[in-house]
Amino acid sequence: MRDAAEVRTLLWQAVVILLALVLLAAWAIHASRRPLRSDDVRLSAADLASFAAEGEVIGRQLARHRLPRMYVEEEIQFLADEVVSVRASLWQRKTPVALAAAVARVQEGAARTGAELHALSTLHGDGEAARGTAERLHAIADELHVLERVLSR
Amino acid sequence: MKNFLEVFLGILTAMGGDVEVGELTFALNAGSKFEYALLPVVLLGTLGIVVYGEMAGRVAAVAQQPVFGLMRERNGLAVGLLTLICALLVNVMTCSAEIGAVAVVLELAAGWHYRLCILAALAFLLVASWVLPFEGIERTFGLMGLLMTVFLVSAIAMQPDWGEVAAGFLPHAPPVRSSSDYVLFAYYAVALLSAIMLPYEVYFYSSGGIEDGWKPSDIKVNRFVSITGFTLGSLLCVSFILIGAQMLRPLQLDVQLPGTAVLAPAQEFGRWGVVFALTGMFFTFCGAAIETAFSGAYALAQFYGWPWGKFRAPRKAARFTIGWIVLFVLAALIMLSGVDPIQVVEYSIVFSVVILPLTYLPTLVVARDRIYMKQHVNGPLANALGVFYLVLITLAALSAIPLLVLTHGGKG
Repeated sequence: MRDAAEVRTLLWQAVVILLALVLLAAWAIHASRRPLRSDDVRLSAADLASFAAEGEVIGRQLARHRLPRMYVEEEIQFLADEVVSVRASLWQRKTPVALAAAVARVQEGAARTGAELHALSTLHGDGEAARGTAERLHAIADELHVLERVLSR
Repeated sequence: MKNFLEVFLGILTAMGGDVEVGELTFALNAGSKFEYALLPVVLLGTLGIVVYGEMAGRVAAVAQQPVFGLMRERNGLAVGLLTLICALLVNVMTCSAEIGAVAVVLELAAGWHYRLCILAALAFLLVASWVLPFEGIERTFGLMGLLMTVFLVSAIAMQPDWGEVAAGFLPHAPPVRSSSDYVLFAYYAVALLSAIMLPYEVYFYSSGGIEDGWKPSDIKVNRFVSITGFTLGSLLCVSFILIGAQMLRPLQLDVQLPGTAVLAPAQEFGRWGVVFALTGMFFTFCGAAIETAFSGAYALAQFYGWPWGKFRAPRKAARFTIGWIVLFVLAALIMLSGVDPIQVVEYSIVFSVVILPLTYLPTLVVARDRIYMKQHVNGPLANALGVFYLVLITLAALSAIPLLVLTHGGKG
């Protein structure tokens, strides 16, 4: 009797866990297909601003020859991949008309960030050029932070 | 002299092996978003892991019972099995995040392809875990992980306002832009508490005590090592918050890649700072991967009563040995699928705190039981702290998932 009761309990636990997993999967699929919301665009702007800010730091440290070449190339590649990922997340979902202008500005910021990161990865010991790229990434980060604050109102 | 050396090495090992990629990223972001406002949580979490670790170590030494052996006995089969499944899932997630982080470090250092780095990390972990005895694993990864002190030195070199840092340890309102940031602050408080009190550390610590042959006479050593080692380990957590506040906050930079952390030692010490940081991160993340895989294997073997332990030959603890090998391979396969290790570790830290009360409670109950513990039972202070932390981690466990959802996964 005790064994049968234990088996029943375990079966019910398995059913509950499976149900929870199915619900989680359904929620994830729904979340990936719904149209963009203001929060999605705001978070994308914040992420891009952060990637641009890190690019700025790398540029400044590169100008002072404080970073090994291998680290710079690989970390910039990671950042560039993240920028592409953010752009894709905006493209893949339907954009409401009210958010179209904001999305366009975020996409433009992403394109400029990607271009500056690519420029940074091709610099070889040119401190002045690295400083220039860092300044431009700083400006992009500032613009994206302003956009993020506007969208959070 | 030999005892002193053992204790000293034990403390250094605990300090160097205390950090993993989740604590690194959460603490850096905590400083970046909220300056020093989360330093009280580091104090709270450190005392919590000391209380939990000391109790679990004392129970292991006196009752010769590790955490999962107690857990099945006290919670029964149904709740025990649910806890085991959840703990194994969390261990696999954490292990996979650590392997992913090791692979990122290898790619940053050597420039190899990411998937090749995952396979290299897996091979290294399997060989190291097979070849080295338990003490060798602890010492190698714990002592080499001490290279992470480059972050502590970098934080000091940034010359923060020490008056503000000291004031930061007193609970105070965080610097926020809007009321929704208070919800984000609560999320970071829960996540940081979880990252410091990760349950796999205690499973590993208590099982390791039995591996090392602890007896009641080792209780004082257990108390000293757990207090000193975990406290010194939390110094690194404090240094990450300081770096976040000093360097990342002015730029509003969120850490979303493990390599971002390296910029702080690079700023202060140039290329040597990068070398120390990457080497320290390699060994500390490898150590965390080994601890999580072994914790999973310990949990499985202890729950089902199988022979376990590195002190046994692999053939004599076959299911335990297969357990940690399978965990490593599963974790590596998850990373090979392309998931982001930082996202995986975020979820693993949140779910760790959800299951923490289920393993903490049996440990507390046994530590208070005079039949098991005899004269080594909890005193009034241990009881008071034990109950306080049970309430605290239960509240954290109940609020973790709602906060994860409300804050869009910690982004705000």
